[in-house]
Amino acid sequence: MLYCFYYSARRKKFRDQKEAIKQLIDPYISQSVLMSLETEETNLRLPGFDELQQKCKEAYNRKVIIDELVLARKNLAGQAAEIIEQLYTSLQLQLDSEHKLHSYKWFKKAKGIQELSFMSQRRYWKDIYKLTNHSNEYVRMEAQSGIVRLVGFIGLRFLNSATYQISEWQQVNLLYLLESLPITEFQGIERWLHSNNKSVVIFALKLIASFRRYEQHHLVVKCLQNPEPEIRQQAIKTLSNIYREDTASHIIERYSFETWHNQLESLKSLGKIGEEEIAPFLAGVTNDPDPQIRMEAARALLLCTAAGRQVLQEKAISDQSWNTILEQLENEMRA
Amino acid sequence: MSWQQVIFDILTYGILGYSVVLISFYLFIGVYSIGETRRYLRKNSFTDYSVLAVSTETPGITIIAPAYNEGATIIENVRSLLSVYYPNLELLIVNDGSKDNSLQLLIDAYQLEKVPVFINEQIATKPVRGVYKSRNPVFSKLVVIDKVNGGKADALNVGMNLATKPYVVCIDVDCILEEDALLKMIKPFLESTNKRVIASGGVVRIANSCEIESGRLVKVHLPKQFLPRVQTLEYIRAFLLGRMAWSRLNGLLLISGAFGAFDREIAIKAGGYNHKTVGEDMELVVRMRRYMEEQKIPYKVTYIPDPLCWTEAPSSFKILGRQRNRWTRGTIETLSFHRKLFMNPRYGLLGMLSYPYWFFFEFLAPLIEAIGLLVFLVFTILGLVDWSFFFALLFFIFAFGFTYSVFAIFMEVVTYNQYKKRSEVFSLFLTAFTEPFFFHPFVVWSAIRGNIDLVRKKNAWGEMTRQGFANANANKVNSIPPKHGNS
Repeated sequence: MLYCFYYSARRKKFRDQKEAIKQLIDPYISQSVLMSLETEETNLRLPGFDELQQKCKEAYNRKVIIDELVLARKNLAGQAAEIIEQLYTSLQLQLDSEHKLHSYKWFKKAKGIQELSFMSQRRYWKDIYKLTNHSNEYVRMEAQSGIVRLVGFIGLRFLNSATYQISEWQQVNLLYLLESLPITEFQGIERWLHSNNKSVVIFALKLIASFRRYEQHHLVVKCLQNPEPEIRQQAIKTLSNIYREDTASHIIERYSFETWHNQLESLKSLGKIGEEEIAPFLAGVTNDPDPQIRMEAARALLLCTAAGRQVLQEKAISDQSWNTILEQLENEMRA
Repeated sequence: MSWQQVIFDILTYGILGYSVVLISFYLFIGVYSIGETRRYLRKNSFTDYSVLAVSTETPGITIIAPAYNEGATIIENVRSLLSVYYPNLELLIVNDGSKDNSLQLLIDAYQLEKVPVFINEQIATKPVRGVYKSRNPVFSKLVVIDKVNGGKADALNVGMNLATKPYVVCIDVDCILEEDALLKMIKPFLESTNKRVIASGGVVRIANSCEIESGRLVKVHLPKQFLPRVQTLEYIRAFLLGRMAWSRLNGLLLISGAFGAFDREIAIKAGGYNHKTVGEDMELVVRMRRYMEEQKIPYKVTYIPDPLCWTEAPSSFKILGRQRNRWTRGTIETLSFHRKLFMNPRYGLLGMLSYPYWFFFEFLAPLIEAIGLLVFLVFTILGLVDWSFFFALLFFIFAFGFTYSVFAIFMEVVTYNQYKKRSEVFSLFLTAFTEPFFFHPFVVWSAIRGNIDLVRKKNAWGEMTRQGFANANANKVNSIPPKHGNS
């Protein structure tokens, strides 16, 4: 009980100390950002710098300052971001981050990677790259994100040797990072599509979809025959983003061999990309015994064919439930 | 050796042995939870949830909130749920045949109109009378379903059938969610690469005496009344220690009905909520786990220690008694439905550890405690009690219980530290001291009544009158109609 109160008091002391440092660093950051609008110079030394440097003698203060700088850097771009990075190096804070990077503790290592990469410390890229296939998933994830942050699309080279599965969460993170970068040509997709790592193939397919790599269409079509259903599902989704005239026919060709999930995904994709000639196929699928498949086929029919409405109306004559489906779909389309 | 002595020894050593095993489990849970909590907090220190808020890859979530006679607060509750921050969200309010004007209030407030919807009844439910959506695009996430009364489980099943997103979050409509609750809840589903996450639970915290403004929690206070305060301590112990340890073992059997996320496909394949039990939340998790074990699909049930959901705890013995009575019946019903799991190695940890633990230490504990008390009284009358040993043991048990609570409070202080004032922490210690005298006996008594009611086939949900958060007078309590009093 006493330790609990002692801990609370200690925590309060740190909280107050943190608040004091924030009172110092936050206005400094704001001032630097404002100055960045007026000058080209990134190595600014505003009044208050010496005091900050003085505060940096204490480890806890440095930790707070790094956290504040990283937070500010996340929300800034251009010259303002460069000023933050410059302040970080002027205060020699990269040494703290480097120390973390080389720590044996996974959470410190991951934090170090995050700090160095947000602060564009490119000279650490080799150290960070080595960690992209680390056995600890959090270190690995931060290293993968960090290398992309540091060197952009080239950083995706880690996919060549990724042996661990890349989680969906990490894929969301990487795609988000990549989408914020200036689009450049990037190599390696063909290799990643042939990876033994299922998640690398799926991620490569997502990259093709996100960056509209139409020239990879034939490779994506090949993925429709991959033995892994998750890869085939992503290939179906990707095709709806880079479709050509023959895309729908490729999806239809594989439809009957597909799992229930992938059939549903195929119908969703066909709804987006299909044209008049797939109407007979979709009309046939509306007789499927599974209600969800029937519903999705009807949706695709209405979305991409002019004859869709008539087909569904004819079905409604013999089965009342089609009336509700038709009304629901028309309502959805109006919304 | 006389026969009295033999009976005395069997009972004494039997109960002692049981207590030793129970205490060992508590010790293990306490120690084992530390690692999991620490790991989560460290991981969280560099996680950026805002990525999910802006990504186009964010998976969809449907919130299902059943409502029964919630007219007094429904508008505010829905507004609160609509303000939860998540980009790919659908909010289903299931009006479970309310006898009040809940539906009309919703129609008027959110400009709802009846829309045609084809219902793919994957789980059999009571009929749906209508589905309503808003004409106002501001409320495009909102869907209100009006159905014939069938109880909470039935209402949740209707939501499962009509949800359009792959993940569902089932909550009590009057719960207050933190703004980023869903961003945090979805992460475990996306993180796992080798096991399918079928369900994820979140911490439910007590909101009595907290400051609520426009359906949002703005300031946390420790409840001023004794009963909600002792439940706060109970929840801290259960959520911060118990569930964290079970989560680390991948042995969680219970995700609170007030706030839990599920993989919709697996929940439907497992058969959805069971309306034949009053413990539908626990029963669903057990059934989903059982389904995965039988299908031999690797899976996980995860748990998040962040305080994400705030609810009002019963503040009178009458309501608390009903709640604990119902929880007991729900536990027994679930254990009874799935008795096949008991010590069945085919079900792995589920059959060999989780189920037996619940059987021996959740279901049997109050019964053994009551038997122990009766035996003690009989032995006292017969003069068989060794008083010095009795007092030593009593002191040990009391000290252990108190130390365990203090440890839970300490974990709260070093982790989420919701109660920042020194007086609040002190009040929690004081509550831990008084709990065994006032609260614990009542909880045991309610559990025994639950057993009796089950034998007598009384299967009512039990009216749960809540006082409500919303109030014109500085957010203090006011009275609302009964909460989901279906039977």
